[in-house]
Amino acid sequence: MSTVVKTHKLSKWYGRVLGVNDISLEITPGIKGLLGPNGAGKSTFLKIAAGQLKPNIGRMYLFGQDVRRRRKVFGRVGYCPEYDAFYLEMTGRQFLTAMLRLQGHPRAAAGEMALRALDKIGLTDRQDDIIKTYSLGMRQRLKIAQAFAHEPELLLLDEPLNGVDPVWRYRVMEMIRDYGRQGRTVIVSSHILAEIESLTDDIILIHQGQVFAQGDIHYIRDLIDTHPHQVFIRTARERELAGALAGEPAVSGIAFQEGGMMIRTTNRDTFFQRLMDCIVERQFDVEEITSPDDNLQAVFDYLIGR
Amino acid sequence: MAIKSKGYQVWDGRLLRRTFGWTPIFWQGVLQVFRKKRAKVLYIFAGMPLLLFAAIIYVMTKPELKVFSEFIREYGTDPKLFGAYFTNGFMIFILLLISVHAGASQIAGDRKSNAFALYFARPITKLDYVLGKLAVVMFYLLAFTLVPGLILILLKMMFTGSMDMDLQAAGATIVFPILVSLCFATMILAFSSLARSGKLVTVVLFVLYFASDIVQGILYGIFRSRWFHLLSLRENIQNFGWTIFGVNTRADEVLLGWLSGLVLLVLTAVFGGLLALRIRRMEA
Repeated sequence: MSTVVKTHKLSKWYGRVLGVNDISLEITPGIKGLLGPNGAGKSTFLKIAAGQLKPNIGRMYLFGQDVRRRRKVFGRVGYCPEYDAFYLEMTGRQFLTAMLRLQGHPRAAAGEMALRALDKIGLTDRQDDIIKTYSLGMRQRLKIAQAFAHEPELLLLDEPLNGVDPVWRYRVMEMIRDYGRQGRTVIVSSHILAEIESLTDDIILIHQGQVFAQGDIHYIRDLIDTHPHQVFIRTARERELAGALAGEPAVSGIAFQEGGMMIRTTNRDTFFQRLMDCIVERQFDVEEITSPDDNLQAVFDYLIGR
Repeated sequence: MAIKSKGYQVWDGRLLRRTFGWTPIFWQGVLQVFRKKRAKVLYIFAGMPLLLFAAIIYVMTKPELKVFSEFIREYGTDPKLFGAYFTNGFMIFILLLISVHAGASQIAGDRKSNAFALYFARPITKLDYVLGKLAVVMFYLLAFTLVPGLILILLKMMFTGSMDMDLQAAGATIVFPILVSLCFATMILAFSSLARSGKLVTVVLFVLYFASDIVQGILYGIFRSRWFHLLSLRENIQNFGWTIFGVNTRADEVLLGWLSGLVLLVLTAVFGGLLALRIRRMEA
């Protein structure tokens, strides 16, 4: 699969404050979650990709073209900044049309595309009201609309769901998923892990300006061998099951909790194989098997050392 | 076939081609300025010199109205007539007002609205941005200087029924408003790029304009030397105007006029350079 975004030793400082540091990575089509705590460098990374900031060192390539040299490449990019960026005295339709005109579309086509985008984002009935009168959520939706109105191949979304109500949060997430399904590239940054987790398993974790991990969330979790996997099991015969598993080399600890037991394993695949064998051989009636740390929050916490 | 399947190397989409990236910024800016509060009042105010000078030309060309000719004797020739149109204090003040009206918030407003995040995530360059903003201010300045100047030339020809026109005055009618407008436009945009508030930019420009005039007046009053006119923006515009229109004939006046022109050019270059530097360094 072709690389859409490629960085080479990308570094950016704000005076003495580090934005991103020595980031080299390649991003292929699909939805990528850009994760990291506040101040990690997510927005800086997206701003460099969107042509807002110049890196101090290194290069950023979009579709194989250096963003500093070939600005035309931004015709294929949509960017939703984290903070509000509007002309408040314009109406929603005027604003979107103006943004599409800046993108290079002729006036008539820009007008039609703006109406389509407004319809998609649910602002048709407010299209001729000035932005100043819009609620926070409506402004956020308008900001998202200006990013995708020209149907870019690469969508850069910086905390896109901030302030969006639950109904529209669901719809926007569905739009993002739809974009990913079409084979386009979407890079979504968020510090709300559940949002990212429901959009994609493919993450880039940034911390202190550097990429800590990149790839499938479960694969990354498997690589973290300093933290044993935890598996929670609920069954009526938990002591019997614990006894059957206690001698297994893959099991490093068993703790009984209210409603079940927590088993720690250093080799998840071997453990699950043995667990399944045990359940089948001894006819255990298991009510629940979950991996509480096989999620984004746990991976995130482990990687940044919380 | 989905883009994902076929890969980006064989992408068969079409990038939009545009020769002038600044034109959407220009049109957007022109509309925005036009929709401003009190814009129409300013435009009526700014159109008054055109009406007045159209009337003067009419009176000058009609022998039956010679009863009024005493009042307009000083506009007897083309250089004096057109020179007076462009260099009168009211017109220069109008230019100042239009500069502020059209330009004070152009970049300051974008800074305040974080609009750079929207501009520079699109296929436009910083040069496109500067040219677009400059074109907006120039549009309004020229609409009330160059365009009325050309209308006056046409009116003069119509009222006299003759194509005769002083060539130097005709040339100056085109060149002078362009140079002066460029100076005002770069100045207001340079100030606008330094602030986040259009009101602050307005105040600074007015203070500088009047302060330069007051300082010049004080120094001239003390030393009685016309060279201090070079310190005043208004005096520089007037001296340069009288010279380029061919009204100044004495050697020292002509020299002062061309030096005033040089001062205006230097100001344009300095403010233009400052503007370019600010925009080049600007990050969202």
